[in-house]
Amino acid sequence: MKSKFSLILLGLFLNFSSFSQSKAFENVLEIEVKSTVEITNNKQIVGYAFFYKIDKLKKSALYRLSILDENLKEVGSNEFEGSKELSLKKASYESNQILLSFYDYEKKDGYEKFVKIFDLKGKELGNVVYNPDSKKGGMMSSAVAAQMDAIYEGTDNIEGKGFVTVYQSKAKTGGVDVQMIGLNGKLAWEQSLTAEKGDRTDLYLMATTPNTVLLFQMDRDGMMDRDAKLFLVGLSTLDGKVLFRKPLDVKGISYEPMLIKNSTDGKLKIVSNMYDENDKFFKAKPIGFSVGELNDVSGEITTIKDFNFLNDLGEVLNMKNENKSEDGYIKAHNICMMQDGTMVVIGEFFRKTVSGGGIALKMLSQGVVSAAQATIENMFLLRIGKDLKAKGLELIEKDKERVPLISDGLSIGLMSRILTYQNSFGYMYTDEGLDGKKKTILARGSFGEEKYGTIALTFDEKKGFTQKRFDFEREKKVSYHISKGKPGYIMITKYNAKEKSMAVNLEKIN
Amino acid sequence: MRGTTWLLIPKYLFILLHISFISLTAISQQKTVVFSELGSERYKNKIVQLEKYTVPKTYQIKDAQAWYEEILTDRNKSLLSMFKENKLVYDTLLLNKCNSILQRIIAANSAFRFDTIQLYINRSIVANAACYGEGTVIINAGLFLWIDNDDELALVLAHEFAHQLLDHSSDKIGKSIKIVTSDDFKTALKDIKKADYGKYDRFRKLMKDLNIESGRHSTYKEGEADSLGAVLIKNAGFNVPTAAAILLKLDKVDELFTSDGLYSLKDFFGKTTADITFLDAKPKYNGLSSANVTMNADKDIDSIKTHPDCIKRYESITGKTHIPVSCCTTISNSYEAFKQRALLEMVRYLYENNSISMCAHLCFFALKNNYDPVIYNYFISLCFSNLFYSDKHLERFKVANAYASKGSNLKQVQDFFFNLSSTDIEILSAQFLNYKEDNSSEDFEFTRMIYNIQVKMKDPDAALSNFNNRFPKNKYQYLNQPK
Repeated sequence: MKSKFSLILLGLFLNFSSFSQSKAFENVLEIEVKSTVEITNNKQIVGYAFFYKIDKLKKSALYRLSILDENLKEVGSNEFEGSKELSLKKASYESNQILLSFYDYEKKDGYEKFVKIFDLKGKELGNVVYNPDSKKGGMMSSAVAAQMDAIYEGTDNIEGKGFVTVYQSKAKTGGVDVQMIGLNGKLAWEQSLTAEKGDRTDLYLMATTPNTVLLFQMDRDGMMDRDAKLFLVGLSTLDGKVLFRKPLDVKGISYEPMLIKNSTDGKLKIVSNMYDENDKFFKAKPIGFSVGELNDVSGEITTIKDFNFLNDLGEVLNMKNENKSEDGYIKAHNICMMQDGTMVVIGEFFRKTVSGGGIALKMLSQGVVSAAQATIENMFLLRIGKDLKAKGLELIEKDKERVPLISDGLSIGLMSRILTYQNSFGYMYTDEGLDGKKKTILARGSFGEEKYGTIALTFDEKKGFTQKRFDFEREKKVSYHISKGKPGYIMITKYNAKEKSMAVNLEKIN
Repeated sequence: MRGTTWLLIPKYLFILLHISFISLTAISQQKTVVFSELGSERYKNKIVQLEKYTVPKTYQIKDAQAWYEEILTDRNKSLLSMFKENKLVYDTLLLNKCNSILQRIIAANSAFRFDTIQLYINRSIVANAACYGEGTVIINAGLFLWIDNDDELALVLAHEFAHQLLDHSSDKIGKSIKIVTSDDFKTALKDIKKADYGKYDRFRKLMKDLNIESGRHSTYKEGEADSLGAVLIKNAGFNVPTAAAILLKLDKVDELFTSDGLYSLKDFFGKTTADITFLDAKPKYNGLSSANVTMNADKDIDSIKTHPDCIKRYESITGKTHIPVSCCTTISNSYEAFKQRALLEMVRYLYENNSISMCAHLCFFALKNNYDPVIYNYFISLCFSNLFYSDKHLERFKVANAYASKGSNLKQVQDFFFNLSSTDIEILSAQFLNYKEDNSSEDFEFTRMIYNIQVKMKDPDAALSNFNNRFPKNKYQYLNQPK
């Protein structure tokens, strides 16, 4: 969202104390809001970075960076010169330092991606560029990944050590280039992971620990190959060397990581979707999910339990077959580890249906247009006891939503990934709160008799959930945008197109 | 009430925001608490006068006159808004005290003409006073919290009178106009407007030069005002060294917003059924507000500081090395009546303006300093009712955010208000409402009515009607009138 503001706003930044000069100086300058980015630490929002273009220079532009804390109070700022088409993409925080990831559409200095490191006051500490031409190819094989709680291209902090940035490789064989930037603001190491000639690999940053950068890898024998081999790759945070590359296809089952996180017992947990090894990736049908404990140095995964939809959830769900219940196919969005040792799976049902309009269009287009559609149905909370048995399923009723599909022949697994990628599910994200006692799901849809909107569903270890709805007054030319806020909050951005004004506010979610 | 246009939507929100178009009295049964009459009611003539104001023709050069008109129009607007928006109050206690000091200074300084000077009280929490140049001298309520005697108040007032007597405002305006109408400045500004590139840097440099010059001028004038102020009060028999202690306290007034030693929140919430574990829990989450950071120290901005350092001012006035003073984490007992008045007016103002965390913070501070528990408990209840209502209308963050500094009591209140569950807000609103048993005063009933409307979602028309029936001549009657 680009907005232009007049000098009056600029005057506020500069803290000019001379009086009564705003009117005469109006329209001398304009500033342009380039981007507003969340600053994250361990995947939680700790503040915000506002990035403005404040001046045009002959061959460049002058930018202002404003660092705001989680309550939107400015804690630091800086001004620096850069390319005319510079945009701020991501921001991470670690040990009083902020890493900002920029994209230069103009490639002013010959490269399009770079990061800058600032202290909280806004003082620049370092600048590390990413130049893909200088990268050497690695020795990995290939695959294509889907959506998960991972970073496709961006940055993450490494606790106490610095930052990691991941760039998707431009090599035909795919892969990623990973850079680690230390707390001194300098490049500590870089590592390229790609496939052998003719193969294809895709990697995604799953998580970081003080020891390891954890990536999920899908390898294929070629770009068009319908099969894939799955791996969990660990890079040492010391030097970037590969610590392990663990196959995730084990005993006929493929485990596709959904998320990796520290649980309340301080141990690293890995939650994965389960597929039959012969029915994964392109033709995948999820058959359950798995929870395991991960050793981040060796890559060993100790299975806590594989939850098979048919066998393990049969008590609470009427399963038609191994991957479909009476309520539809199951999309597990997240698994929350509760403080009492129980777990709650947040999920949503969906079906593959045929649309009447789609059939007509298919006939008219002589089969080019797909008649298939996804019907997204109720959400649910599936409670799993300390004994790792399913205890109950709480339905969160919402109106059905229909989403056209790009092809009739999509497998359920691929369809689920595409729907996630398109943000078609009602589920948005889970907020774990300040102390982790209560978890809140942010979701959109028509829940009950209410009109379509965004709601917050809060639950704890006990049965049941509360619901909070966010309603906005409808005004002409005023739009609202809801995004993730600090724990326990959503951020609401109100944009008034007529007044060219923008206001941000945080709202409590429970 | 049908067919009327209400000032604010939802319509009963105005009850909270504009509690006080008229004088309000007696929140406690034992003690009568009086709110001061608001500026918009008391100073109607002044408002008319300000609205009719036209800038006199002073400069022959068109450009200079245009600047002059703009500066004075802005000043007039600023003053007008203070009167119309009820930032000013007609508080007889504070005003009479200030006026009595003014009269004493006038009597002892016959060589000066004080006839244009008019004093007003602003409900601002900032410990400050200001001279507007046309005779208006405004004293902020926030200042009274730290004044302990007539000598100190006299020095603050005399400093502002000195600005007026020495016509510093006209000097400053004249100097500014001279700069901005100079050929050099006009050319520079024209060049910036025409420039395709580098506007910001050039504009910033131009403004910096202007501000540094203006700052130097102001610093010099502040020193002059200090010197004359000291002479004026000395002539009037005030003790200058005693008076100068206020300068040392002014150096510490930020403690009210930055200290964590003002009170303990647990003292107020310890016995409640609300979940206050948040106050003890060390959250895993650390946002940037918990990081040690200070804003960029910009040397250029520092160089345009208008007031010299308070300690230097003290030493310059007294000729003595300063002795550190203890301030401002508790309110001293001296000058107590003035402090009580000032604090109450500030709390009321913050509440009317939806600064709920700051309002509650001052209430806790008042209670810690043993100020009237009834009125401040009711205000805290009103704060929680407002917080509950705001939460339901997606406004909680706005009313609770005080942009508080790390490690301060204010930050604790702010974070507490951010994190309370709506159930607990409801509990706390009721608890502070029922602070006193068997209360049926008009003020209790008003607080209860707001609780019922905002928390219990009772029909506002019926609640207001009941209240009006019970107290037909209540001081809140005016709220029933459409604006």
